[in-house]
Amino acid sequence: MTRWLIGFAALAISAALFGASASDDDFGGLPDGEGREEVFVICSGCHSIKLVVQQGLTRDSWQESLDWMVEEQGMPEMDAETHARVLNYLAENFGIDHRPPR
Amino acid sequence: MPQLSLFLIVKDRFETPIEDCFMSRSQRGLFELYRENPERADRLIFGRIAHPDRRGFLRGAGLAAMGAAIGAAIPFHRNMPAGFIPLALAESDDVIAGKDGLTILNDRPINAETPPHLLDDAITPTARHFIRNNGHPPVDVSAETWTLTIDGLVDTPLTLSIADLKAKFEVVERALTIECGGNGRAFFDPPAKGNQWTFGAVACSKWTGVRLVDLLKAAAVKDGAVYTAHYGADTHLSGDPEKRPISRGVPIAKAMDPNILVAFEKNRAPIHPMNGSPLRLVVPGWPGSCSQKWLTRIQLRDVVHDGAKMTGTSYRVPNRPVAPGEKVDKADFVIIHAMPVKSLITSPQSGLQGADRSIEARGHAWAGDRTVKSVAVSIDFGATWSEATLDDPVNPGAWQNWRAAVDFPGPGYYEVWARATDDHGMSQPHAIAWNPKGYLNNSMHRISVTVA
Ligand code: HEC
Repeated sequence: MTRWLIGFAALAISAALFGASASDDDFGGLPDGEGREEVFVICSGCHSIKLVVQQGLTRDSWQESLDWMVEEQGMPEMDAETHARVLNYLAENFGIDHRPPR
Repeated sequence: MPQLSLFLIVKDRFETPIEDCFMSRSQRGLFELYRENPERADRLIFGRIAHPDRRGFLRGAGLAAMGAAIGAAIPFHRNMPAGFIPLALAESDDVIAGKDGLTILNDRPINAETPPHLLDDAITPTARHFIRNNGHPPVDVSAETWTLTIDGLVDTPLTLSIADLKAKFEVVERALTIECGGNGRAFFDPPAKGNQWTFGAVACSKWTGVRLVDLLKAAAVKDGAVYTAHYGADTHLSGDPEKRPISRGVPIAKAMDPNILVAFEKNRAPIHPMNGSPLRLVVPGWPGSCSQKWLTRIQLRDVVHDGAKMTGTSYRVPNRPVAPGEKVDKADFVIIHAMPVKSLITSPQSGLQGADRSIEARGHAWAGDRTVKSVAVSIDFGATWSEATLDDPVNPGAWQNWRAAVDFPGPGYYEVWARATDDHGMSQPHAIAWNPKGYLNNSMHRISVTVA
């Protein structure tokens, strides 16, 4: 049920709001890349994407964060494919060299 | 972004009359519409019709539109009251009413800090006091109906209105320093997760309230009590009513500290809604998270409190110095108590160009439960130091103001560094004592000055 909701919202977002020419701003500052839409939709469920784009974390640390979000904060569990896309996107774009926008 | 999506949805779904409501395409339109008739606004904007209990979305009407405007599914949509502007939309404004010049780190929930030069006042004005939210602030914050309960390991459980607090206990006013445990996290390398606070998650305002210790005496704390547990009226970001955004506590010995207030006024005015109106704890010198906002209950417990953000690695540091980036076992983390000695240069503003050869540098210094004994200033990258003039705290728990006459030898680029030392001889370090969650960065503050 929850998974359906997330998929549904993602669909609604990409279809209804963003055409082919979506900019970073439309995604709360998330840079273009595979998995961006999923991260935007799933991670802005509880807090702003500003909390995501401030970070620069190792892949392990992102993995831990996702676990913490599910186990402690009530984030619906993602299916394996979505999880992989989200983790890859975060690790690639917000790795340990990334610094918060000032 | 919410404005944009909202407009698109409205445009997509409705004919001209509704679009008229949004001619300004601004958030004001949204708020006005909700003020006039909340349920009609629900219907117009989102096509939403609530269940007969005035909650939820009848047959899902409007749920997708609202979810799309927010940018997410709403897992607890069945509980959402009718005529309710989702915070995601309401909070997206870039200015926070009643605050001035704060840097917004996160807009949902709002977390915002104050640039150092705007912290120059001896007593921090409300407009310049930082904001740290873990959850959604409560909607109903009327002081008339608010109550505080003291229960758990006490002989006489109490439930007190704010009027009761004022009538039954001595009301005191104190300048008290609150600093977020993660202030300075932004300078950690490798980075630590969480809001990337730089310098300004600290403030010293005047708080009016009653002493926590007086309430605890009135409730008659039993012998076995070892820890307090604080509860507030804010709600968890997920919307799950079973979860709390934050519930921390302090050891019973600390709870008896007469400098801790249950406060109902700040700077002789009602507390700002984002700073915990109408009632909050103020525990000076300890991580700000101990100072529960929107305080509703203090429970006395016979164990170390295990509420939200007490366990795991929250507000904890390793029990030993660790290398930057080192993995630390959860079992090796200990709860942060008093914050370490620290200082801030609030004038001049860093980056000053064309400065005179002689200027005054000034700022504040504070040291958790201790007092600051001296502040020294350097203009040659720490090679030589000269003593600043340091005021006593106006009361225990307040930061101390300092000032120093600085004479530059000639034109050029300088850095002014400040270093405070507490009454136990502990000084601020040059380097950060790195820890995995980015707490307790008390390294020296430096500003740059170019002399003409
Ligand atoms: C079910 C709600 C929920 C969802 C969905 C959610 N988060 Fe969070 N997240 C939270 C809460 C609660 C916090 C803690 C906020 C606080 O105390 O400041 C948090 C904090 C964070 C933090 C700061 C970590 C820290 O230690 O404070 C990061 C980074 C983060 N989230 C990333 C994400 C990402 C990435 C996603 C999407 C994969 C996500 N969140 C989805 C609830 C959620």
